[in-house]
Amino acid sequence: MTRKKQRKNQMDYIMSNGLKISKRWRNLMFTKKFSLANKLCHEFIQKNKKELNKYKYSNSEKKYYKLWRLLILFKTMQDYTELSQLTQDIMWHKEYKITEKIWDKKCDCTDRINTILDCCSGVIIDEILIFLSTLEEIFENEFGCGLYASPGFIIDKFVCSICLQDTRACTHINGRLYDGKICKNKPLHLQLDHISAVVNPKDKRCRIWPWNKKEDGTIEMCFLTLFAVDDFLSK
Amino acid sequence: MIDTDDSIHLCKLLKLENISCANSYDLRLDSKVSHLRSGQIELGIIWVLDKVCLPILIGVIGRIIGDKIINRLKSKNDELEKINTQIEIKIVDDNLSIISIKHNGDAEKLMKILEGLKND
Repeated sequence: MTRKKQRKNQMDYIMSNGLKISKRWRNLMFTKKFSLANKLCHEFIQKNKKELNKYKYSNSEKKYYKLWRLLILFKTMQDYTELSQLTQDIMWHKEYKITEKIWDKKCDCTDRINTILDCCSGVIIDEILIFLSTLEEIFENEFGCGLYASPGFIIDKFVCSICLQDTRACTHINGRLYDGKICKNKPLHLQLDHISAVVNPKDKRCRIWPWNKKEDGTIEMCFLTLFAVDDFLSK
Repeated sequence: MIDTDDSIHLCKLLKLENISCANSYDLRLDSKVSHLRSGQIELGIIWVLDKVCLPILIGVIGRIIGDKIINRLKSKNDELEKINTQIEIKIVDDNLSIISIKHNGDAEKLMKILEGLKND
């Protein structure tokens, strides 16, 4: 059997296995066996993470993204499992640390599901979306819309990943494709300039919680996170 | 003087529309870049030396605001929030007098002001 055919069979096997596991996961969620459901997602991700790297270094971009999306879906399911477990106690919003944990997890789950929403649909996605919107409503009713920390940076210059020049000197647009490569602006010598309190942040994980205000008037808060939807794949 | 990443993006889009324009780099000014991690759009000060390019400039600003709104909608399901925009447009008139428009607020309002300017 040729290597190409082997890879095709391997991908078909991963997809059908993913489908079987997602059915088992739904049954576990239905019976509230959250630890087992979590383990199931974790094992599927760990097992197929190595496979993803194989596609990365071969010329199978389509297969790579197909598997990448599947793994993001399983991580979203894992986030949802953890959220369901954390919100079992209906008074969870009275516990500050749990509230913060649920908020961060909700942001991760939302970001991940939005990444795959264009190409994935089905009962699982619908269930997660309904759950997230209910959770959002609870947060709004209990804690309002919130204030968020938003940092501003001063950078010597941005370097274009396509031509390696100062971005002010070239015409490549950040995020567009050029000969199969995505243009990215890389900051050079980044320095923190200020932190603002805003209502409309880029990263909702940087929420300022009122209970983190200390007696001397200072507030403990997170102002920058290094979250990426696929960060679990490199761990 | 500090450039903003939004103003650099605006300049690139204008150049792609064949509008002759210069940024700090073209003018050989040694300036750093500010980058905000928020929903705000900071376009800085734009000097318009020829009114002919106004419709294209307004179209490009509209596109930048539109892209930002689409990104916000994607990340918040269907919740529409107001995008704050900071901009100052200085138009040099035929008599070399300067008309200045300064806006720091809602992007939707800015677009209405700019559309009005296009019609004038």
